[in-house]
Amino acid sequence: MPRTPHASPQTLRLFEALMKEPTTWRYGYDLSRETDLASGTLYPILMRLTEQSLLEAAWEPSDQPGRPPRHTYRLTGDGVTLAKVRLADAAAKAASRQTAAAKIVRPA
Amino acid sequence: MRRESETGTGETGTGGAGMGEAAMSEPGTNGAGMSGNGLTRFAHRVLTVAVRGRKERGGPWGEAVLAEFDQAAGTAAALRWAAGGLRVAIAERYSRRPTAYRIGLAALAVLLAAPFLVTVKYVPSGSMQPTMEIASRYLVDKVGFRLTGLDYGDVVVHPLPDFPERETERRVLGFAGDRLDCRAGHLFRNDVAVDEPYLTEGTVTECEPATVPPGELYTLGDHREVANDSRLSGFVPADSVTGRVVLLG
Repeated sequence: MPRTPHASPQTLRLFEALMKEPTTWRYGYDLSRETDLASGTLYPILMRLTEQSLLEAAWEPSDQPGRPPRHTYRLTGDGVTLAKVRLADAAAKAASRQTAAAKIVRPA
Repeated sequence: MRRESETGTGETGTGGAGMGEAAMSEPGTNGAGMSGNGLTRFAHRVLTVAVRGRKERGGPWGEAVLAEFDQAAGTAAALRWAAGGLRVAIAERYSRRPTAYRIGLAALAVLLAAPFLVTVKYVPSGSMQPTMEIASRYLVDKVGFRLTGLDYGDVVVHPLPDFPERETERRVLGFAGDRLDCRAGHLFRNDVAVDEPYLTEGTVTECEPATVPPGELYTLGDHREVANDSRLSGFVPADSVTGRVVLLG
């Protein structure tokens, strides 16, 4: 069975964070804090998603002088569609797992 | 794509101001990277070098991590951020190189590491016949056995207890706590006959009963009639083992 791309728990956590307000541009650090992913995990995912045009990235000049511009991210249309599918899949899987577990605990 | 990004930047004018306010409301986060302690500054320096090298600007993703560095509140968060940033910088740097270059680099790394991991040796004596003939070559794994541990029947390399300057190959037949003895020319471990298919047919093993003390091994040569092994020179300290034979050639 081929592996489903962009379905890892880490990627799902990122999708969840991005889908709260899909049209807002988000900062990397805030995403890292919200998803509880380390930078070394988060950024490779961001890189992958951007490479496949699921995410768009832009430089935003800092409003405070003397600070470097910050990189911001948001899902593209394709990205939003995929995130919805992946999150729905994950929710369905979790639900079926729960019923399976209930069956083991309480045999009918 | 680029045009979209441009309009995106325009849109975030208001969003950016919102973020500014958020930063204001948390005075601790503001400029923590710049006014932080030595460790934080050092981490920032290391990350900058990793991202940029000698260039003015590094790759976009490395720069992105670097630009977020001063958001991290506290030394621990800053160090974690920088550590992940190193991974990003390395991944970005090497993903830009052509595949052939990366394969070459990996091959070079293997070549450099190999002498520390495996080595080729010559069999100095006939004490492991018929498994190992005199002057034949074999490959020794010097690291793997430390991770996986040894098992009964493994052929290991260790210095001879009575000639510490000479290394030899022997088969591990007893670990700490095992009781070994010989009955009618066969080796018994804890009263169970040891299956030894590697011996020449008709081999007679003679030994004194022995119980292996903690931290020691009981090792024998396959050529029982001539081998100077644990029957003669005693137990072998487990930590004196330098390798495990993985390939005969």
